[in-house]
Amino acid sequence: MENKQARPLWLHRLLTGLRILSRFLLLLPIPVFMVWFSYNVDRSGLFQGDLAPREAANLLLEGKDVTNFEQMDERQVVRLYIQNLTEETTPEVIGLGSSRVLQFTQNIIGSGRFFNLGVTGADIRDVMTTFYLMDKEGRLPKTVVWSVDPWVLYGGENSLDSRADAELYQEFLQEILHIDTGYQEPDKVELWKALAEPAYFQGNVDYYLQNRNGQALDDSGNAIPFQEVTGDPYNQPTAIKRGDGSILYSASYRGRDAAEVSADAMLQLGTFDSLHMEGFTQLDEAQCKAVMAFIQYLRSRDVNVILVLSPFYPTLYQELFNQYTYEGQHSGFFQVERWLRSYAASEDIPLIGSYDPCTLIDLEASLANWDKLAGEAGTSTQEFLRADQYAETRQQATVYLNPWPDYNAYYDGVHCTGELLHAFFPSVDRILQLASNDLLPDPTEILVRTVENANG
Amino acid sequence: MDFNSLVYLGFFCAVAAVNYLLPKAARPWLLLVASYAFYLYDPRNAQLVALLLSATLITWACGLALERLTNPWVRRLFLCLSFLTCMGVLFFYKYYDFFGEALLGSYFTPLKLAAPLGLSYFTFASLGYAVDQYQGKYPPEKNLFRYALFVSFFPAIVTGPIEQGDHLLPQLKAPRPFDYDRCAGGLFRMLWGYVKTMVIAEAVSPYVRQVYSHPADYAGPYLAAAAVLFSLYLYMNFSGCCDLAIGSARILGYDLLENFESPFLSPTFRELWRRWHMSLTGWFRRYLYVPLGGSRKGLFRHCMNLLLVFLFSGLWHGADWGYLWWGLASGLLSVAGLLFDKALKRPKNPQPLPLPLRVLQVLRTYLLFSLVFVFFACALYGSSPAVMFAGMFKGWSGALPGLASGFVAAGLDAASARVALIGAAFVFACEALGNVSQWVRKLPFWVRWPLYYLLCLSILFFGAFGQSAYIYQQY
Repeated sequence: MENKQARPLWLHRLLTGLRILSRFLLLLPIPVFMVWFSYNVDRSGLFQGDLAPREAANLLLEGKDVTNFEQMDERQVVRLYIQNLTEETTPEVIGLGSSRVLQFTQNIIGSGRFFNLGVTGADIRDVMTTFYLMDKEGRLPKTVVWSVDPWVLYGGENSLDSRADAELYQEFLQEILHIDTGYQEPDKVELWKALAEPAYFQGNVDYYLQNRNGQALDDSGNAIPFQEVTGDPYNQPTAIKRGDGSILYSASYRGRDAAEVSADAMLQLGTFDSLHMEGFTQLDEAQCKAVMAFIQYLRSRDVNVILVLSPFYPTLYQELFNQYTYEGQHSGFFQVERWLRSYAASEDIPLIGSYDPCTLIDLEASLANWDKLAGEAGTSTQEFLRADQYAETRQQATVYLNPWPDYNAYYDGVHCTGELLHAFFPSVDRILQLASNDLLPDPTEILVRTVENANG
Repeated sequence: MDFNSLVYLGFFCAVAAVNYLLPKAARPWLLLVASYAFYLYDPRNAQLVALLLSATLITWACGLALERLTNPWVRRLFLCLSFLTCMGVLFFYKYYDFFGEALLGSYFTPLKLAAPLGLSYFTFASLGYAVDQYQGKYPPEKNLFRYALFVSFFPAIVTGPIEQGDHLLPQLKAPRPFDYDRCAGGLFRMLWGYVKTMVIAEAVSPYVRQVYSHPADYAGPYLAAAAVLFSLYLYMNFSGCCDLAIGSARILGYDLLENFESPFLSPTFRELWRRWHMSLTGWFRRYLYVPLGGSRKGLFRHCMNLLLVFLFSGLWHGADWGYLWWGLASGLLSVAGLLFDKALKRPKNPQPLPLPLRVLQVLRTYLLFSLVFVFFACALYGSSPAVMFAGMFKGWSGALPGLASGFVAAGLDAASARVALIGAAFVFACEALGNVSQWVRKLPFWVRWPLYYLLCLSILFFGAFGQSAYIYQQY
């Protein structure tokens, strides 16, 4: 007591203040633990996403195949997959697009570090926001394989998929493409308050204890349907999402014969426009600009871009073409490929494949022919591929995928098999090598049945 | 503003910090502003603040007048004015509808007014002050604002303890300097209060509420369990809230009256009442029991005085027959205890019995107390005591096989039961050792801090957040 009185007042106050501070610091581990636990368990998915998609994303991050693809909220899974990527798990090549890109596998791409980020029904917003998320997370790939769907150039309401993240797209347009959308960053204070909520912590404790052993349950106590695939992945009763993001349809779906697939494709003919193309009569200028801006954005991030056009079922395409030629239907659809080819040619973007299954080329075989003919003509292959004087020779030497189109190479009217993709899509490395050596054919020279030759 | 809300914690931390940064003379002013801010935080209290102000002004002025006046009739007049002001407000809000319906029946239109926050606290504190002034027990408070702080002191206004002028006013006059140990003790008292209210009381609260709200739906074992658990719930809820009030006041530099002294460790019913809600029983003893003659006017008057105090206590809790029955039953049991002691010629401080017998005594007293409080709980939850008591003796044989699932369905699962039992045993054991916040401060650091962690973690893991149902807030 005497010592205390002997101290100067300022020193006494300072020491008391330090004493109080030290006691508060001693209590600090409790709130820190609470926040850490709530953030990591996060039973309501406020920070880590909903539990079921999180479970699927975690399995995919571990490279495992996941069951019950049909029940998956693919957009959430993709978002969570990207959010939880590490430097080691960041893919070097990604696939973007709709379910039509989902047959691209690591084997087709030729890279063990490929992940297919396509989502069913993807519209242009899905494509852009998926890449934007990777950019935001600082997990950029080296190459993007974008399977461009025809509806991305359609500006109508029907081109949009209700499942796409409209808010994130607005953010992307405003922050990256600098298009004023009136987007305002949402107030995250309320969200972060949950971390300081002891009630949320208690809910997380309950959830953690509940799920410590046995099957994982979601917030409502329902079993999470996504588990690691056990047994032969090629013999599963449901479609599965493979560890590389691609989709392997159920054994029974893949095992359908050509007649069933053909019947399915013909049914899709009647509903073709409902594929995000209702009212699609003209290319939308704004959408074209958006696609161009997006590709510029990818390139500004030093990302290689490869555009892929996935073929439609032969009879379906033929019938669509007939309806276009004689009845003027699907006019928007038949302008897309032409525009894309023209744009790819002008920007030196590799473009592989075609919506028209009859004009898929065997690139390697064609190259061998072009090389040989160039040698005979005493010119370089590059010159042979570009000079007008060789145009006819080039065309004659181009090897189309015979016996493709094979009617067994499709699952239905709009989805081709991986085998068909593999046939016209050399590996990513090979495409980039050819592109850098200027050895890819001019995209505008491929004889596609489009608006230009509809009546000829 | 609820004690167990983050808003209160933020508000209190700010007030406490500024309190010690201000010069001593300015502190009561800050606390007065804080008390009114606390009162006005709920917009419903805004229109009722006039009541608080008028009770304050009138009793303060009467106090000053009573000091100066010598004519006994005029002095009585001023006392009556104070009495009518305080009791008038209390009567109007608590009993107007009750007596109106009792006297006029269907001709009466009830007002259905909600009692303002702290009604009983500020009316009893100010009325007690006026009576003290009439009796000349201590000099009146000349400073209106200091007196206003005494009447509205925010830590105590929600559920008490009901303060007395000669205890709190001198402290308000001479605020204490900051004392680390005192504040640490206050903080621990608050922590202790939070454990009692948020963890233990809330573990049994859903069950008690459910069974008492629908007694006809439950068999005897459930009703008996509800009766036993209600006492525990009430104690943890009410004493915990008082711990919060006392702890808050201690941090600010003031000591409030203690309200409980391990009542459930009492061997007799009368002893239990001496240790239960001590500020209210003390108020009644000081201003009702003693003026009526207490125990000095023969056994009959002694018994009648006891009975009257309990009847008034019942009436104070609210205008409901249940409270009156509860008061009457408590009074009768106290009188019976008194007569029993007299008949057996028991000494005032008997030799303690062996431990097993003492445990049995304590259990008997607890059960008796729980039984009497069935009336109280029925009044609180709006159910019929007759249904409760009749139901307690029914359905014992049939209910036993599915007892556990029945408890879970009524809101008491195994985890809650464990929390309540272990928590209550821990609290009773600690409180049996004396004032917890005092002896805990004397423990070595390595024992004290694990205890702090244990209490904090028990709140974090088991506490009920976002629920503030302090039973005595409504009285």
